Amino acid sequence: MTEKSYRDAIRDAMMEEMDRDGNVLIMGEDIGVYEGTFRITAGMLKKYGPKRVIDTPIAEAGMVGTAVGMAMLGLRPIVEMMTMNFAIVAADQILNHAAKVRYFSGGQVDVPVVIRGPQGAGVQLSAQHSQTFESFYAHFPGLKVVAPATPADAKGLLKTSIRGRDPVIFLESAALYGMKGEVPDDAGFTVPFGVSRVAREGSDVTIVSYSRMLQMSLIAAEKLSRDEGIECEVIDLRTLRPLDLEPACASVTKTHRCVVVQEQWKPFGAAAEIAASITETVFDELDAPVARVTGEDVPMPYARNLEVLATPHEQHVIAAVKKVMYANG
Amino acid sequence: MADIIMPKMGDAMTEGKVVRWYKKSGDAVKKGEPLLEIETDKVNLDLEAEQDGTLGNVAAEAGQMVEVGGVLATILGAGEKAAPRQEPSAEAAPARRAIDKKDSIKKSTGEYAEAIDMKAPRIDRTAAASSEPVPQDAGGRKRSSPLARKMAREMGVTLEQVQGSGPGGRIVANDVKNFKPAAASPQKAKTPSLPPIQKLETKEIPLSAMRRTIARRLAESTGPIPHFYLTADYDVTNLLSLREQLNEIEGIKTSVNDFIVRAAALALRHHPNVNASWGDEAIKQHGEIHIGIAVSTPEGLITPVVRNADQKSVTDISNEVRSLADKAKNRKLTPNDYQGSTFTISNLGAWGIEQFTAIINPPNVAILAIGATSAQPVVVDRQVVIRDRMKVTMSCDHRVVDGALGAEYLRTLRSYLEQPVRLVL
Repeated sequence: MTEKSYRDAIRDAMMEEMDRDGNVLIMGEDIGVYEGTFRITAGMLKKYGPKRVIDTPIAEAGMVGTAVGMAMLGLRPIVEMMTMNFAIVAADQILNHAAKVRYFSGGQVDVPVVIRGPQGAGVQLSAQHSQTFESFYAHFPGLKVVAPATPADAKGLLKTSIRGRDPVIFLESAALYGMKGEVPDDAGFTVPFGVSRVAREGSDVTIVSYSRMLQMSLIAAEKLSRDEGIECEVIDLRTLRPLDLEPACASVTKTHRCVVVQEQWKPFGAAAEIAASITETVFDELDAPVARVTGEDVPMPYARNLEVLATPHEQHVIAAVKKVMYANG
Repeated sequence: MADIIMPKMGDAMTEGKVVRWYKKSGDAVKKGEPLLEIETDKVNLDLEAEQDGTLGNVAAEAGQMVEVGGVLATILGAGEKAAPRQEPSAEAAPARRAIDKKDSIKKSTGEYAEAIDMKAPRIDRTAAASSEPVPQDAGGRKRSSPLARKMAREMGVTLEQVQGSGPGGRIVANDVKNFKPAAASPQKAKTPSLPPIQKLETKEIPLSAMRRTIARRLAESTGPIPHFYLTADYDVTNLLSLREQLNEIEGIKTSVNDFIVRAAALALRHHPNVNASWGDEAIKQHGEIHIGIAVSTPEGLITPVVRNADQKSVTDISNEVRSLADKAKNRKLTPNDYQGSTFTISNLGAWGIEQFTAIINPPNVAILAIGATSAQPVVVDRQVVIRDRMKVTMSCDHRVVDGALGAEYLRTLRSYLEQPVRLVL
């Protein structure tokens, strides 16, 4: 184990896989000479050369279309989006091509492409560049959607993404890039898709989350434990498609209360899907409606104080936990 | 100068809200005059001036929350001047902020912690779009969480009895867990549910031996026996209180009917002609008092007998009746258990029947029909008071018992029931 940042863990995963498999390559805007807007690809051009670390024009649809073609013919391209907001331009390539080629080819052709990049708010990038896309992509069959919350999971899940047969939307949290954590050094280390983990054990309320909101939920859980004596069990989903709700449902069977935390807007968000599935599965165990903690239903403001107001924080999780415990008086 | 402070109106109260001021700064106030209305978590109330004077600085405006013990205003005596109003000093505000910041966890919110602290009224993101109170279902169905329903099923608790503590009266798991069936008190009794609706079908129910016997004997009764009926209304307040005292003794559980059995038996000792049977040649008076008690079973009616009831204590009668009733319900009665009664009691009080007439159980010459006990306004010493009343109707075989005799028996019974101390003699 070595302590690594989320950013370095992502770079390590890509470089280990590029060392391991000559078919793995990366393309994107400003990833080569400039070494990436968030410096994820630092040193990669130097090590692997311009045939495997490809600076592209500002043309996301073209990048993804090219990558889909590469993948159909046997390469394993990684496409870095400067932010996932720009991938909207390539939505047709992602949703109607990458996600559909195996189906249209009767299972003959796989598209092992990884589309990765940062998303989410917290770094003052305003309305067009602070959005989160997990529910958007997770809606479509044919895609995998990954949203790691720790450096170790970022590395392990990205390696699984690169090695797999499917197009993967790999959602990084811009606000987590600097976060440090223990990461296994073993080059064979991977984290499988569709296996949620219990990030914190507790007996009173189940909190279900992923990515940055998972970290925020853990802080809320510690505060609740310290100040209120309420012990939350926190479930990290890791991947949203496939979605593994077994540990969450098992936890709700124990706690009888559930709060789902997402950064996204509330309507039609991931939390809606998660809450509905939990309600379907363990209805008789629930002592309160599943609560959702979400972002405010507005385009993300640029002003720092307004951005803070528009995103969920610990106190919102704490209020929701108390609400499902009927502890708000 | 006297401070008016936010009073502590209960252990749980930590702060109160100023609703409105009736007086403003500078107004003359008199002792006992209401100055302002405050709102606590439980009540709204007026605070009165405790001395004459002039209302000085008002420290808390309408709508403001004030901690218990916090100063609301001052009353100035003659010649006193209001102290200059204390504005929050420039140093004080940042100090408070500093505490807030220290307290907040900044790990994930980082540099934004300050902005969060500055945040004005917090928005409850978990609240449903409409914050209107959820009304209870008009149909009387109580809202309950799925877990509460599951627990209630497992514990055999009916949700109708449980008080919900959740939003809109929702019954939650804790309410079921902490639910204790209400003590048998008529005030607390909940509306009983209707018996289940049975399937409508045309069918023949074969006559059981028991049903044949009931039919034959009761027809024999109303046919040849000239019935007449006397009703008396008894004050059983003292009887109920005696029963309550008795039942407070560990291991004793008596019913009102147990007392009636003993009272009826003792009253028969005064009127042996009621403890008799009609014969074509002679009226037979019985040397012993055996009280039959009508017991309903799924199959029908049967009257097990408490023998020599006049010689048994209420608790002995109680134990015997319970055991006989159990036997009757399990069809374990032997002929010795139900033959040979000399007088019968039928009690439909438990079904809420106020008054009814029973058919004599031959060869008895009388039967008592006991109605429900209920609290009634009655005139005692020219005052309207609430007393527990019970109606008893006696059916008599006119061949043996004349009206006067029946009335005398009921009067004697009144003495035993209304002065129940006689029952212990």
